[in-house]
Amino acid sequence: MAEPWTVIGIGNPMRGDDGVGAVVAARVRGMPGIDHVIGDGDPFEVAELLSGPHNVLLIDATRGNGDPGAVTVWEPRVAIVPRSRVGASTHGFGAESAIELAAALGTLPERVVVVGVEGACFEGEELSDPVTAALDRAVAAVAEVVRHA
Amino acid sequence: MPSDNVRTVEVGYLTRVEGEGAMKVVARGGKVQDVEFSIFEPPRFFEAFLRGRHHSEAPDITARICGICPVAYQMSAVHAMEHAFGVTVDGALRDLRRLLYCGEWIESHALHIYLLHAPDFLGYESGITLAKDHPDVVTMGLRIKKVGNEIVRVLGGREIHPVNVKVGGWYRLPTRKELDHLATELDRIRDDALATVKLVATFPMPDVTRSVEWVSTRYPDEYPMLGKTVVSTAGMNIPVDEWNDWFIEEHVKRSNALHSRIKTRANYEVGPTARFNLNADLLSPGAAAAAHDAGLSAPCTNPFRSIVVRAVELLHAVDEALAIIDHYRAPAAPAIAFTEKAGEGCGASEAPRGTLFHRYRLDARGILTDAQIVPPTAQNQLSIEEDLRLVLQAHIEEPDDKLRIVLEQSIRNYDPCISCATHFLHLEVDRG
Repeated sequence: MAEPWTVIGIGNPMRGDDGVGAVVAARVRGMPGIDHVIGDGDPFEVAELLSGPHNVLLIDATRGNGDPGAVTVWEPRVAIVPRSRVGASTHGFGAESAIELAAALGTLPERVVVVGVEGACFEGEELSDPVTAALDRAVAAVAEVVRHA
Repeated sequence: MPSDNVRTVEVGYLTRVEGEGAMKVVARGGKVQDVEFSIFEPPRFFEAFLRGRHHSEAPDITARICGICPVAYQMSAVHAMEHAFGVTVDGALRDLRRLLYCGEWIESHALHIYLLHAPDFLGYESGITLAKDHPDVVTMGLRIKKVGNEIVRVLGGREIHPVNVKVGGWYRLPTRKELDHLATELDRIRDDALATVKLVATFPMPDVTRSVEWVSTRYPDEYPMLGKTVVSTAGMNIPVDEWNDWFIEEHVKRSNALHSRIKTRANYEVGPTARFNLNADLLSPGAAAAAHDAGLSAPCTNPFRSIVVRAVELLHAVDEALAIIDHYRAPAAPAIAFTEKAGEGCGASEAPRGTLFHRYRLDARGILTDAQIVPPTAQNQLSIEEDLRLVLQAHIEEPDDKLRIVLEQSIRNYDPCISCATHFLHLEVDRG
């Protein structure tokens, strides 16, 4: 039987499209194959959560990864880089940094998948139109990952 | 045009600070000429955003200004509203607020010490590269932080943006079982917290001494978290609601965050060092002993030793949380009844990185008509610049790469939360 997935949305809903992770995480709660959902993920907390038997799926806003609203799914190849790449997450420590930290600590689970949604605006409390329009595609991307696990 | 002997060093990002800003230092002939620390993230307009909202919304809205110190924002906000409505929250209800605050200090201080600041002292680029060589050290930091998160989760209802605090008290009180669970977790990390003080006390410290007017809130017989008065090392001792009589916020072209100073004097500093210098006698016995063993005494005048002070505060927060849980007896109701009325209220509390002042004006329906939020990092901007000037002068003969590291480290002494004050710091060194 496939391991269940922990889904973690990363970002701050008060910073515009940075909040997309929490919104998508809320929408996939209860989906078959997913047994734990964390909405407002603190990236430093994610490093701790990236341990144990569960597969982990992170949802985060991206910047510089296509047109606004573009949904990208990838399994990061972890490389410890001298200066952590900076995602679009609050406080400059995003999903990739969390994965790097977990890798450095030797706690990475077998599978970590990131679903990224390219943001357009990181101010205010609303998602931008292109990101709002991408929500269904992001949810579908999560379902696809879980289904084929 | 720069002359031949002017060198400019530009750093893409200064990471490991919370938010976006820039630093430029200029030296000529071996002397510091100019230092600018600026915050260029657009102002976040939370104050304007709050106008027209009901007071019950303010704690949750302000909590979202920062993912690192939401409790501080909530606490200063509810204190200001309670001041306006003439409500006094004390006893066990207040103790629980201090417990929640201990949670935030534990998580924020552990994060800053281990993942943001320790790499500077140990010669690592980041917490991630530090973790690679010293996983046990970083794991200990994360273990401590996790207990802070757990306190915020249990008391606040959620880990990141707690939602359980309201004007007059709480929506829901924790159960004894929940508190006993927290006590067990706290007991488990107490040795880690003590080990943290011992560890950071061994870090090599740049030799810089400076004096500034240190400012913190004060509450009788407590190391300050929820303030009643505002005190300083230059003799200030005022009720929180006289804040605007003493402090002034000014717009400075180079920064999007307002600069604060004391009206009749100059810059001042808030934060762990200020709290320690004004309240060292109020630390828990265990934290006071650890401070003594670490060679720390008030006043602490080396800004780099703020990491040691932060560790002592971390231990204090663990001790304080355990004491609060031990003494807790459930109050009759989760909140005190109150009547909304028109007026103005002020509140101040000690965010992990320093005093956070809020002032609100409300109408008779409890709608906010005006809001003022003075975050700690905005208040510390001038002192950060003063330190940069000293550090630059002391290290002016160093090559650019070493100079850059010590200047960045100097900024991180303040654990600046720039996104609160208004994301990455650009550094430019220009010297001749």
